[in-house]
Amino acid sequence: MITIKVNGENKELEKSTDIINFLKSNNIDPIGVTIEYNFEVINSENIPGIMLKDGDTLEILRFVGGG
Amino acid sequence: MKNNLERYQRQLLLKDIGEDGQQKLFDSKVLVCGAGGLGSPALTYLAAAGIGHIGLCDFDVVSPSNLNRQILYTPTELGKQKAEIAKIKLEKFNPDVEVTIYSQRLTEDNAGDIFKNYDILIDAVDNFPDRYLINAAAYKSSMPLVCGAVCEFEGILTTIVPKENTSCFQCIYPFKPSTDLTSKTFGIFGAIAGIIGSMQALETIKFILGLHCLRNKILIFNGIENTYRVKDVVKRKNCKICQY
Repeated sequence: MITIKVNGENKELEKSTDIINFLKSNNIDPIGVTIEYNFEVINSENIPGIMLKDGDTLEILRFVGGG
Repeated sequence: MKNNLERYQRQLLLKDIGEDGQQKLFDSKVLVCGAGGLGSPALTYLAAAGIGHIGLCDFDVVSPSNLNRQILYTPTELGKQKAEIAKIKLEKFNPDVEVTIYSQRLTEDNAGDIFKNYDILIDAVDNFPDRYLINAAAYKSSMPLVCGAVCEFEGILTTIVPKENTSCFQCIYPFKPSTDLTSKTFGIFGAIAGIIGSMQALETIKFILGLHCLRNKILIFNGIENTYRVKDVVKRKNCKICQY
């Protein structure tokens, strides 16, 4: 079991997983969001392969640009 | 002080406004980029508050799909220039307010010339390319900028102050979206645009009055869950806009 912080709230995961699978399991389309991993915004090209570890912080912000 | 103070009586009672604050609002010049879903409520509440000079930049005409959220317009105005209609309505709504319109597309070439006539800008456009353009031009012109945006039932709000070297829109979204994320593709619920556009007017007025604003922070509103979240925006080390 690991605990990560997602959008300011603690979330427990049964096991370590990568960010893409985490997003998919939460029904979030990676194309529609910007990801801040441990306080740094990461390019979507670099997201695959990043494994979430205990204590990691993730901010998921949708691309909101309409008006 | 202008004569018609009775219409401002309820806000003159507020300790953060009073006659001195109202005079600041009368003396201020605000440019709103976009007179659509966000711009409609933002412009209306700026005019209601007595902002002395409002600039309005929008090249678009009214279309039927605008009417679920763009409350300045009616079905009888389809096909007409938004900026022209908005000017007439806002000046009628509050004759103390002078509205200047720019019925042209904002570009890298004309943005600085337009921005320099104002004290503060509101980004109320409907697409990412224009948001990046306005953010860059605002930073280049050292103009404070209140950004608001909506998508489906969500909205965001932040205030950028180049003279204070705050983080910018590109610090929030450094990597541009890979798909066409406009209101045509994802949809917007009208009341969400109403909420965020109204908050843009509030944020602008607070900035003019020297009150608390969302510097280096972003407010994220979710209308389905009824949640507000305010998150820090860290200035990016290599931001091409605000680090140079």
